[in-house]
Amino acid sequence: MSKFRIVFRQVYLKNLKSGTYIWMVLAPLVFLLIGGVITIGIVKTQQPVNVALVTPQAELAPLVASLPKKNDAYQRATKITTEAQAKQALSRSKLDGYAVLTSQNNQMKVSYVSRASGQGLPFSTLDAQFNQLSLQYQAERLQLSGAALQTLLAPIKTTQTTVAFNDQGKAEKRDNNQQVVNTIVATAVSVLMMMFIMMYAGMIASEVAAEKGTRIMEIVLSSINVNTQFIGKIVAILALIMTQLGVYVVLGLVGKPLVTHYLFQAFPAVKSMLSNFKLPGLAAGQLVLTGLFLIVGIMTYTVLAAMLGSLVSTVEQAQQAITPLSMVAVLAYILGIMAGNGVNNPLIKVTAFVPLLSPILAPARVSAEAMSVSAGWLSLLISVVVLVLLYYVSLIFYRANVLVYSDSNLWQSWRASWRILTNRQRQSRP
Amino acid sequence: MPVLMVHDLVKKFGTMTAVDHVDFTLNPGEILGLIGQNGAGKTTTFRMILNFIEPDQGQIRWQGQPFTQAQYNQLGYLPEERGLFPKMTVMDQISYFAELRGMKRATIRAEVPRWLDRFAVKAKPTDKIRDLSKGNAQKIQLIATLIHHPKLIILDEPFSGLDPVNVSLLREGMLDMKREGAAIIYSDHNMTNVEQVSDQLVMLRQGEMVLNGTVDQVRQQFGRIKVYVETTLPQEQLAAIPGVVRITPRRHDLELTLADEAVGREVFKLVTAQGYLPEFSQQPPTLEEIFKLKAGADHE
Repeated sequence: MSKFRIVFRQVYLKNLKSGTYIWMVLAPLVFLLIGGVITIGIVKTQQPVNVALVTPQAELAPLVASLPKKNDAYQRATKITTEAQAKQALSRSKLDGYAVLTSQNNQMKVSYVSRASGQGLPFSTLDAQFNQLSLQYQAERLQLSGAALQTLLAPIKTTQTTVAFNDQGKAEKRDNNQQVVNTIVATAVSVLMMMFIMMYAGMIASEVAAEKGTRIMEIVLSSINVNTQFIGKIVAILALIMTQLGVYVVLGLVGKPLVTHYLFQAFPAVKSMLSNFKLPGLAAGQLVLTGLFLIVGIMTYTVLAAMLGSLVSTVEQAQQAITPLSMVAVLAYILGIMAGNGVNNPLIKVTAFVPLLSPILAPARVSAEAMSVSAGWLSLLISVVVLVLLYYVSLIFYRANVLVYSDSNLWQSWRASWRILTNRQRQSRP
Repeated sequence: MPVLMVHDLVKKFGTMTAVDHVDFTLNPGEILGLIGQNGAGKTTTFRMILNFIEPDQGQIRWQGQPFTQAQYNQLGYLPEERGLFPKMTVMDQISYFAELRGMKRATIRAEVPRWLDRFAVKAKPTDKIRDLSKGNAQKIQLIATLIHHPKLIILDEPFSGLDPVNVSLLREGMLDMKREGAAIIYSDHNMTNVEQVSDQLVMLRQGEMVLNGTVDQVRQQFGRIKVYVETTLPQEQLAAIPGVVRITPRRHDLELTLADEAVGREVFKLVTAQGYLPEFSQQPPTLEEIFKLKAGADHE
């Protein structure tokens, strides 16, 4: 077996079996599951708002009785017809609130009373219904015909169309709620990218610092060329990323029929709701782009983290070593969230092409449909070129740092490795 | 042909010279002890041999050739600070290091139990490293250094932290590898070990080579300036002999340090004047004494 494969296998298997990696793979699924369970739990346990609608005036009683007994906003306690009964029921927590309708000088008035510890009353729904009642009451009093009343009450007709432009500049219709979906997807992409990038960067930095700190690095580098060892580690991390994505693909393929067969049958409302939304990317290859950005992004941060990990002498210092990198990732994350929320200023537009920021920002912008897929591919190409350059720069510094032990701070370690590099170059000159 | 030839090696860190014109050669089946105080340049010398750092001057030759990747599998290296993966099993840990030295997995798996037995390691191949005692973990690292039967073995303070039983096992292990034809270079502070296993000795002081040769040659350089004598004569009478530099009483006898080995004859005459004498021995100084003498010069 080649020495590259030995290093690759060791790094791959060691991390594959580690708790950190298993958690990293499972975390998004666990969060998804917890979110789903909580949502279902809330929906299942949610009680309707119990209200009583009463009036002390007999002439208003038929109007009050005509109001719906149950709708999406509340459930009426129809047996309660007087304010005294309503008060008593409220004190016994049988009601969340009640409304008293009165009329004075032909003007209707509604008083709401709600329980502080109860569910909030759906004021907008109730107001709208009482307004309707008031109009009916006034129309009858003024002896307006039903048709006249209909004409008077007819609202202005409005239509809303939201469009997104595809790569060919053609407008595609979007559901009015699409912006919300885009924001959710873009935010999720930013959060997941940030999480994976920081975890893989932390993993490689700790790996390098631990091997250096325990002097395992010395044994390894007395058996193998440093370049082979470096690439073995980096490719092992790439394989871990691919494994993680593979797990999601497999779970997605297995999970899809489960969702379509069981979930949609059990909750037809979910099916009709999802059919209204177009998940960005599924149709136009953005998903592939996002996956590639994930790989390139993680690899870019990984090679830099390996270099930074080689600057320190103990595993405890590894997180400190990658702090500058974390700050860049946090910046990219913040910009990604902003992009997901529709912020589209020149700074966001430009940084979506800047390597280290683009792996988070560009997929978020593409998901938010603020950036075309072809611009996304261009940004990816720039990131790939920079990744190759950074790989070689990191390897040069890794080679200089990895067997240099120092108790000094990161900056001094950096300067020391720079001195070693320049000395080597001087020595290699004829 | 020597396995290792180190010629005129110089390494500076800033203004500090860590290794200063060091020369030695090591043949197959030889053990070289590299001694010196902490910071004398031993580990820096090892790191240059291992190609971890480049010398500012001088040459290192492996079997007459510059160091190349081809030599990786012929080398065994035990660093000064021991390091193993705590979560790995004994078998996996040894396998990883041995595979990096070019051994086949099947061969390693077949040989590990024999090596564990040879070094009396109280652990099974399936035990995790983190569950081992410090001594056993050290022996696992030593096995990982030797299992591929390297031609050149570099051991940086291998006896450090071992109890006397394990010191003896390690010493035997080194001598076995020597008998197999391996060349061994190691550093140590314990002169008893150095005296017992080394064929050659190099002492560094502030990077400079202050001693070089076989153990006997090094000791003979100082002459037989030590006399161990069991006598009833008062110490004052012995101290009065010109050339007796110091008298150190020991449990049963006296240790006399002489300015010159010829003074031994005067001492002998005086102590045998009354006839029978249970002990009189004139010897060169021990390595321990030479070490202190040479290292002490550092502080003068």
